[in-house]
Amino acid sequence: MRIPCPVCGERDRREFYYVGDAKIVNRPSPDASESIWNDYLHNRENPAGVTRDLWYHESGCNSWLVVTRNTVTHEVEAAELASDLKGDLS
Amino acid sequence: MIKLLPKSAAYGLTPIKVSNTEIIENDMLTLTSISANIGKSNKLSEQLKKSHGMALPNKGRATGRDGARALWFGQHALLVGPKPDKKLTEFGILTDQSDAWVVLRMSGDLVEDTLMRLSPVDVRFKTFKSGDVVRTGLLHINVTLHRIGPNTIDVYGFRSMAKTLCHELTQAISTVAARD
Amino acid sequence: MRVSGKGLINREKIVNFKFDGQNFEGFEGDTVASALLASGKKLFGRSFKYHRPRGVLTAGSEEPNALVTVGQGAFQDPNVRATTQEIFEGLITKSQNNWPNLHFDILSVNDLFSQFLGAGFYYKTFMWPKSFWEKVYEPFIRRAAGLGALSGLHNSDTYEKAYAFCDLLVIGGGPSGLMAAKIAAEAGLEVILAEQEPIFGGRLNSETEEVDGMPGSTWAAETIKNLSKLDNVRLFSRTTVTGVYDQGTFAAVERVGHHLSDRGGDRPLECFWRIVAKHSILAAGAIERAIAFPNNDRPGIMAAGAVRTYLNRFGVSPGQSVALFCNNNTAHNTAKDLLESGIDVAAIIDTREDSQTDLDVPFYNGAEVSNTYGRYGLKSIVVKKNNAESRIEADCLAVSGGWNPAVHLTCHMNGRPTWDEKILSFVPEIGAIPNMVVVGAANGFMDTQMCLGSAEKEVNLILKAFGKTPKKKKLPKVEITKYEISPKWSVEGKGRAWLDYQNDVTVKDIQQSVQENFKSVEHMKRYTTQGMAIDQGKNSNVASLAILADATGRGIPETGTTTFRPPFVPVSIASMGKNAQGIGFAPQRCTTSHIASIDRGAPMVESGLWYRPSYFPDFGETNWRQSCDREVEMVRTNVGVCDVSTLGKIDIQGPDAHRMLDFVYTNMFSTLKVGKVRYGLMLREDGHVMDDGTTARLTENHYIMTTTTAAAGQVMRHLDFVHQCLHPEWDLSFISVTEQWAQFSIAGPKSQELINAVLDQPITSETFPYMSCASVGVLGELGRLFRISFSGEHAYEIAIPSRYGESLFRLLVSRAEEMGGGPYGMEALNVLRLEKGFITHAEIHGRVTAFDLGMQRMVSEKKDCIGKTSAARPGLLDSEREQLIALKPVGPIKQIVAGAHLFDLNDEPLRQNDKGYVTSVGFSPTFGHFIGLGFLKNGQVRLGDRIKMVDHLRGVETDCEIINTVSFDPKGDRLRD
Repeated sequence: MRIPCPVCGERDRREFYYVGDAKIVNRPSPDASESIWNDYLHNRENPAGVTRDLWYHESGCNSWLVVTRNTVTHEVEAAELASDLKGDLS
Repeated sequence: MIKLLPKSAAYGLTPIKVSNTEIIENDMLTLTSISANIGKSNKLSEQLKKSHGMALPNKGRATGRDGARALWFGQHALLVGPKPDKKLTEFGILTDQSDAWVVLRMSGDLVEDTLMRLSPVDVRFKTFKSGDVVRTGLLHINVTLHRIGPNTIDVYGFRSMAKTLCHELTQAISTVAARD
Repeated sequence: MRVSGKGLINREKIVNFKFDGQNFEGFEGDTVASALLASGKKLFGRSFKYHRPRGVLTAGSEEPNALVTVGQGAFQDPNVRATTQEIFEGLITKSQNNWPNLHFDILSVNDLFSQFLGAGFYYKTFMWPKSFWEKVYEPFIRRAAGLGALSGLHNSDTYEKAYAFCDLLVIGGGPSGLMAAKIAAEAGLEVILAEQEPIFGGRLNSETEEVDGMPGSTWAAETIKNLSKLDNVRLFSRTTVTGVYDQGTFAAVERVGHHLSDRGGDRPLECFWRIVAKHSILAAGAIERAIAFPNNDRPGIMAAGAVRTYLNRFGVSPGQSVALFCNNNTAHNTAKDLLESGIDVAAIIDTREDSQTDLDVPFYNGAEVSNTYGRYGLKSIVVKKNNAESRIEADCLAVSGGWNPAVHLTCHMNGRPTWDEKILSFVPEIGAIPNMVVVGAANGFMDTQMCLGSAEKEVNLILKAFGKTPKKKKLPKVEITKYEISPKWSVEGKGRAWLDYQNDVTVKDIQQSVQENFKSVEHMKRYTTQGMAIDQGKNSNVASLAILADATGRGIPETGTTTFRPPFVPVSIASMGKNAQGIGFAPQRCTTSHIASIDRGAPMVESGLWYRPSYFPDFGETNWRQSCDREVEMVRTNVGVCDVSTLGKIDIQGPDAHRMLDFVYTNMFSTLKVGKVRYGLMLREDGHVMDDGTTARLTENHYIMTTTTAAAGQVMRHLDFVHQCLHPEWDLSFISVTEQWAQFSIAGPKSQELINAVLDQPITSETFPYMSCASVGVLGELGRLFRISFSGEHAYEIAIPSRYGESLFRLLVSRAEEMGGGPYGMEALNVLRLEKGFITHAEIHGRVTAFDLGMQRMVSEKKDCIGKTSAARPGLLDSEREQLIALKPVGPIKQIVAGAHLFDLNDEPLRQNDKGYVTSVGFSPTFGHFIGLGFLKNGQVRLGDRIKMVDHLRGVETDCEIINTVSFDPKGDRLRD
């Protein structure tokens, strides 16, 4: 698998550290409801299709990336810098 | 008065020579990591030019020349050579990294083929050109590779891993050299 | 039998090698198979299950029968295809799966019982008694069945891994691949051409067809010669592409040293390539299939194409008198070549009623071979035409049941090949691999003109994608030969008709599978083992499917294929495991005091990737406990020096640095005064503890954070996450300075005296109280000093740029020794912290909260922080949770064991009564007993209670008392002194 790092270019996945669903960039406010926090911490979609997840380019530029890929076709559609999203993944 | 004796990161490990390819330590450099304050990267770049003669490097590149260079280093830039001008701190954040890296200079005919055995990136000299900087893995070690010249690269690795780095490089050059 | 005037071998150079102890000669360019065939050898091995005598079937990597063991001792390689192993001077090969020898094999009695040993016999026969499977049946089966064996010795061969990148990867160097590579290269693409044989040309080297007015093999050699002059082409011979992976990644194995005499040394035996290609062309050709007829497995019965290869490429005729049996016209070419070389062709038996030949040979159309004779080598065949049988003498039978495109790689990403009725075989699914196109025979084009045409067409499309225009050139001239085939899968008759030679699977086995309702192709495969092992059914799959389709009454397309998975050919684990064994397994991280510690005889322990001294043995000390006890006492009464450089150090600067710290730590750091240090606790967002450590504020906007050794990388990632993903607006920068600074702990009542011996400006407890930090001059160099303690003693940590680390360590140790102190290692460090109840990652193991550690008060009420919301969940504040406690032994047994579980005294030590567990232990020389830290349900209110510690694994049971976690100096007076 290869990920197109917006900084370093396309790189082998072994340079990256994987976390999971990119929704964790949308951190709820401390006073958000229990269900919102519960969702943020624990509930993850498991789509057959397009998914967005967070990868860290640990052996490269140390950027956190939001990678859009397809779990069925294995296509990697895009990778963007998490810092460009400014905590707002829509 | 007693003085502390400095020891370079690859002390006793270099020089290494296999066939006509050689590794020496580019030692006792002054290395300073630089990153711009928010919104100040242009000013920092200008100041860097004024103070040390080179602009901040674009991603994947180095600026300056031997003795005073600035390397793209991921989230930071690395000033290699001069003691940093205090004025840089007006626009950026500096951290002394002189002792953090082992810098190995590898030169010779087998450099390109050797790197192909170690790093999962395209290091063919056609694409990895002079002045290019790439941060990647070298087997299990995270490194920064800087192409200096026709057959010469600098490898920046963690100081604590100098021994393993030298070992891996030596082994890879040896297997390349042993091919017919 | 060698044929003069034929072959691409070097007859000037004779090569000597051994097979089963006997000396053989061949020529440079021969394989083991071609050289042995030239010497008249027919019998190469014994089959997997029935130990049937078997000979060579093919001339390529798909060979199922002629498997040999190459080399001996630790250098032994089992299951090497004799058809791919090139001979070299001194090569030693052995046949496999026979005892006492190839000719007389005791276990060939299995063959007599074959009616009981058919498909599924394991499952039916070895069912009872149950215990017999492991003790009797399995060991017996493993001995009786099988192929070659490993030596069991450590293998010291050199292997290599490498990465390659290109615009276009061409897989297969036959006519199509060469044509594609040539056009692409001349248009300027970066091309890699991979060919599994030592020479390029593929089919052209096996046949006599002319290309551009010259022999095909000459055209191939010329093309390669021209390509090798271009610097945008890399030619990989002896390289098999074995797997296709996501985003244009390919695995390939290059055989670098298998064909050379001087094995060993630095030259790799194999190189495992990972090739990344923007586009790829599969030109892997086609593999000939057999026809299943009774007793079709005798040595001497071969693929017709292979016979042609041996003749034209190696100058060898596998027999004196060759018969041909086919259902298509390609085998006729074999007959033609044989005749032209003066070899006797006994007959052509063509199953097609309307087939014809111009050749002057006995010709049987609409006929079939219904039986064969000759146990160790073919002697004669029985031809059946119009229900009349006649016997024909022949020592070689060349069989062609048609050609199967080598679709394998197109299936590696779940592509399903489709049935092509014209060629009676499967062709690749279009677009099965992104950016891969299939050309030539691999795509079902069975004549050279179509091969070259398809290569040109596809390359031109690829060139367009790169924005390049191909040079207009005429394709080389070739003869047009149309492939004609009609279905013939098996011949009925008495005797077993073999499909999968390697696994001893017959037509009957497949029919039996269907009878027992294993009708799906994947079930049939598992039931009969058809298509398993080394050749993965390359020879037998399509024919087996046809038999299965027939037996189930379904069509072949409906029956489908099994899934082809990587690797295409066997890949040695050693080549894939290169860089992952011995010293290459993981980098070693050494501190600056490494050599100084080893000089003192300190054994090293691994701590993550770091190597740290376990203890420093003194004269007369014979075990580690003596050294450890002494070092603990030394620190408690005098002074000790310990390298703590391995702790993560992160330099955090900027106007928003304090925001970051307040957000990642539970407690406040914005309020920390400049020149002070504070202990901090870091949570994960789920409320559990991630790490702990101290952070110092050097100036208003400059902090130094320390992490534990183990979590340094994780914390760095976490900080990057918080900054980049959650708060990119914060103006700060941080960078690891772990490697920049060597840091030593100086602990003990005399630590101030020792530290002042190296400081340019001496300090006092007044000028530099507990939890102070400052930049200091250390013998003229700029260092940093922290007054912090992990031992409970008056202590400092001194940091110096790493280049001076070794010098400072040696100096501190020798000064300490003059004062009656010395260095201490990890064992003593552990005991000292246990006496103080300080935690490490043995305690913060990922499932504990600040509450569990008794540190809930460290979670500041005044601000938000990572993990705060979650840590407040009722379940994480439940008093019934397991909480940090300390233990000492109180009964006759004095041992406490890490990993042991805790039970109430009157409870049975059973899982359901489990109350907690022990995380770390050490013997405290200060108190004269073991101290353990652990977690116990509701532990915080159980101080003074007795409890039972049980280690079921090691059989230790100890009565313990729950004691204050801080055994030593509970008020902390010594720290502040």
